[in-house]
Amino acid sequence: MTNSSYLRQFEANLAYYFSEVLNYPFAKPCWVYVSLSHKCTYSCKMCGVVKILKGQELPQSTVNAALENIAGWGWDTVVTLTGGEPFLRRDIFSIIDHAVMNKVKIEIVSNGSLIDKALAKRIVNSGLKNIAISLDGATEFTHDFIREKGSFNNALKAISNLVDAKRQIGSGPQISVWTTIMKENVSELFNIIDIVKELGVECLVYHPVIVAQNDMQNTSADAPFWITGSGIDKLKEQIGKIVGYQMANGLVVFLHDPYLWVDYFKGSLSCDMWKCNPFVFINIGPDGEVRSCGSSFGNIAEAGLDFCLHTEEADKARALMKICQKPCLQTCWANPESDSLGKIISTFFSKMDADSGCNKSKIIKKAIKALQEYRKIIENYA
Amino acid sequence: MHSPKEVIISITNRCNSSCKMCEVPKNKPQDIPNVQCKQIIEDAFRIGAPTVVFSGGEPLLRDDIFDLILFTKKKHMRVCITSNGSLINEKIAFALAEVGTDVVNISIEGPQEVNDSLRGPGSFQKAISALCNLNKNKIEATIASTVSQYNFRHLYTIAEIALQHKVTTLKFQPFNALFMNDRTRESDFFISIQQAHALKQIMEKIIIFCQKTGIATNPQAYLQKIPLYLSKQSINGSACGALWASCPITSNGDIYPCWVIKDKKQLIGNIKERQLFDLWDSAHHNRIREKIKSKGCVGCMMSCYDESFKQDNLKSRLSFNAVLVKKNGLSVYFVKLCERWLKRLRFYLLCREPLFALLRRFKGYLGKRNKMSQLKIDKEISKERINSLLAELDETEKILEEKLKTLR
Repeated sequence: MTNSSYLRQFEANLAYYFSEVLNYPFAKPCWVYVSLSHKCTYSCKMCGVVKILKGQELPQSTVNAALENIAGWGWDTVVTLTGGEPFLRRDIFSIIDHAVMNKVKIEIVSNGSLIDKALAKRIVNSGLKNIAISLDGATEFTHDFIREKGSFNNALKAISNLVDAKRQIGSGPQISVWTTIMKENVSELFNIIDIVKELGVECLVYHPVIVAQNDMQNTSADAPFWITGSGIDKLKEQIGKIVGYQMANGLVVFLHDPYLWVDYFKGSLSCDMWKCNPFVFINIGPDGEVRSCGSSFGNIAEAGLDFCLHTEEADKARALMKICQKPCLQTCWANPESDSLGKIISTFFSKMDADSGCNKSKIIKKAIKALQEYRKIIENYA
Repeated sequence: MHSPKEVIISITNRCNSSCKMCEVPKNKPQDIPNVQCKQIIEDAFRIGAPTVVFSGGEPLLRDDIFDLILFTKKKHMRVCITSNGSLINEKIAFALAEVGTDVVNISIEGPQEVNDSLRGPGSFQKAISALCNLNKNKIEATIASTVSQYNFRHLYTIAEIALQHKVTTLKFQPFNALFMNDRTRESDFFISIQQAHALKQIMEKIIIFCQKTGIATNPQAYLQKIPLYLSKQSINGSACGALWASCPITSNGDIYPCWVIKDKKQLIGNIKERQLFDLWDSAHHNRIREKIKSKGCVGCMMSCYDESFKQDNLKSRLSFNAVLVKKNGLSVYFVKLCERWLKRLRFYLLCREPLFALLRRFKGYLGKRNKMSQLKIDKEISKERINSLLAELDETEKILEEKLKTLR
């Protein structure tokens, strides 16, 4: 990590913290999910995306305008294109080109069903930062049960096509696998590591299922994919193995303490343990509605993205997120480092101590200056 | 097209209490999916319903309840929630206020012992703290109570609780076996004729109490008939307006003419198959209404039906007022009328957010709807919070400066 990068992170964390306490968007989102279309090649059991807002697709011009807006922030924002299945869109590569041209970091999440050798080459050459393929089981039976017949082999083929293409070309996006933790695959979580390691995947991310109903709004213990009873013990055992592997070999990336998954499925995860920061993440739906969680901020087809972040509806939706009683533990909308000034400082110091070759006093002076900026803002409130 | 007075959506049949008089939660858990709820709300707006009632089970068990309320408020309709109050802590009450909830209806069956024996231990305390939290957040609170053998002696206490907790409306409804699967226990809830006599006196006391204090309650004629109904005497039910005035939707999406008439023959439709907009006032619906009306209804005495008693009430009131005018002369009558209105106004000024709630209720009566612009988030941050933030900043700056010193 270079000098400026952890100072930048410190400044960003301050912005997230003060945005939250003062309920004003000083900070820009660090994750923007753009759901390009609700069309998908599969209809997975735990996902209701295909069923809602049928036939909605974001026009390319709208996506491009949003990308330009994001580029203008000058913030470390990562744009993740999702769907449905994003490769169903014919203009997907022109969208990626537009992002790359505007120097926006861009990623794609796909189920891999369409990635043959030719497409893999195009993807590797496109300038993407990361491509994530969903893999929900270590066996064909489990993955195909959750998704669709043949989907397991398709996903594996897609991964190996991507890895081959990257090897041939010599560079390309990080190739990762995303796994949804649920009742059906809880005993296979660790085994997925073997598969992805053999294929040459560089990053594996686990995230717990959030579905109870087909509308993806509710989370409850009687949902079909929810882990209960003996499943919880299995989950603990798997977490132990995964953590052990991660410490020795890396590969797995934890976006939070994995033992929180146990509390999540038990229903005992409280907002004291995991707090959503409403400013960290936004999602743009295929209908153009901008959301962080819950109700819409506004529509980017009617007003620009920046405008949507400042609407009264946005304030309202964020206020509700702040008092959320049931954290959903998704990877996207939290930034535990910015929960308090104490945490921000300790992250800052730990990264600074790890870095030996920088001018530390200069960086601290800059950090103090950043703090004083917020002091001025708060004094203005008074 | 007839516009209903309200659309009542049973968004879930899950509930966290198990009451003696209701066995709904014992059925298979069922929720109306979010997307369909929103479609119903959209249609409720299109058929001109001024109010949407979220009912259950316990509606606050749904995680997306705030989303649904916000959606309803965006359509400029009033939102009412019927709840047992157990989940309304400070945070939830705040959130309910933030999204613009108009009314929350809490069920209370009597003083602590009586209420807890009917609704489960601890339920009374929770309901009372819910009322306090609603008051703090300036949400209009109302109380609903089911009158039965178990609690009829304690109804006056409920009225006192209502006054103490600044409740605007207190509604009574006699027990109905509608929500029970096991009908053998039904007779335990009814009262004897002697008891009916006692209940009648209690009802009279409550009517006077509510008139004095300005708390709204069911029409007088309706309250007077509750003892007759509960002791299984004839009540000569008047034509029920509920068939046109309210639209109940069960947690599996079925729409019936009313809560009581729920046999498959009378099913109007299911929202999974057809939209509410198409079903309401459809030829099939009107046929069912006419059939029920011509056959006559036994009279369920559910509170949605109490509007039907208003006409009786108005007539009797007019004749009563005419007697008063004859007796005292117009000027004295007029002074007394003003006094009564002043009392009601004073109640609002003393007990509730001044005039605002009164205006809001009045607007509701006129069918005018709240606008989204009223639902502003309070952006002001308290002085204490600012001071604590500044102190936090001081401390952080100190830490940084100390680190700087150690580096030097």
